[in-house]
Amino acid sequence: MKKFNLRHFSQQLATVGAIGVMAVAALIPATAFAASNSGTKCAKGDTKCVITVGDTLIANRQTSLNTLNGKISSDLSAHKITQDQASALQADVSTNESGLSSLKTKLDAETSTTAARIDVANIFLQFRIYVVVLPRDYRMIEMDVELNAKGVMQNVAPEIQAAINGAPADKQEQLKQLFSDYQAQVSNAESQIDTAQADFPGMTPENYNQNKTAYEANHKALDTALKNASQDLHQAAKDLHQMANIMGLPASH
Amino acid sequence: MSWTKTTLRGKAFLLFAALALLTFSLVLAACGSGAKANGSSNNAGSSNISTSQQQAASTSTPGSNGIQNADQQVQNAIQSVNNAGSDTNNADATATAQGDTPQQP
Repeated sequence: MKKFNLRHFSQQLATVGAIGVMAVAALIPATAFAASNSGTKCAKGDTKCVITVGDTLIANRQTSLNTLNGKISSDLSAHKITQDQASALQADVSTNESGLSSLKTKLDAETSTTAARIDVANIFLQFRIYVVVLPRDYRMIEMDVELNAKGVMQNVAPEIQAAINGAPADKQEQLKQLFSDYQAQVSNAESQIDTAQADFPGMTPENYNQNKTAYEANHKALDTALKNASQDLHQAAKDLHQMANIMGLPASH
Repeated sequence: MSWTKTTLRGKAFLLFAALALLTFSLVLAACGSGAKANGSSNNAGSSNISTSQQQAASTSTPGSNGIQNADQQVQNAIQSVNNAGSDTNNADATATAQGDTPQQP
């Protein structure tokens, strides 16, 4: 007869316990994730339930739009964007907020489950807040900021030129080369920003619904233009910084 | 007579001790002010550093102040560009997390 070994048994128990804890730990987030993504399933004919779910979806979108609105206001206060740029963005936020608000009023008054479900579908189909509006509007802010940075770089160009003209002869050549590249980079950034501006009109919920492939190609082109503009602006800033370092150094004797 | 002599000796000793104390105090005070003067000299040293920096600036090429100012403006603008790019990335992350595929309750 096999002798019962208490020490061996406790080791096995500990191993099984550890595996169990790990399994539960792995299951909890998976369950939570599934619940958050699948959403509530309402019983057939439960109009009230459908309305409640729709109201939550609308509230989430309203909150995200409010966050965007706050960002626009803070960027305006910090002079990162102009009043005109802010007004255009605020108008878009306002249009979406009032649209969602009207849809909520309609949804809340529905008496049939079918009508309520159509309203809920329209939260996605008509507004596309998360997949179109917010990505587009934050990119619009990004483009506006790039446009303004480009403006700053163009505005300081005469000052840079004057500084180069007054620089000692032994530094002139290097400064001229850097300034030439600076101007070329600013010009490249301007072209990229023009491209981005042309891409924005295609970023609509309608285009997303009708031809997602074309929409995504347009989205990608916009991203490329914004990224290229940013890189050009960074390179120009680097050139200027190098010029400032050269000019700021004590004159060689 | 003897008593008077003793008293006078005692007074002379006290006077000597008082003078010695006064001298010691004056020496201490002099040392203190010397140290303070050295401290001031250190401060003056700091101010000399900034003066020499100013001298370096004054020996910079003509127009360097203008270009430094331009550089600062552009660096600030670039910082805003970086922040705007981060905000776009955050918005994309939110969009991905929330999704926009119609869900029927």
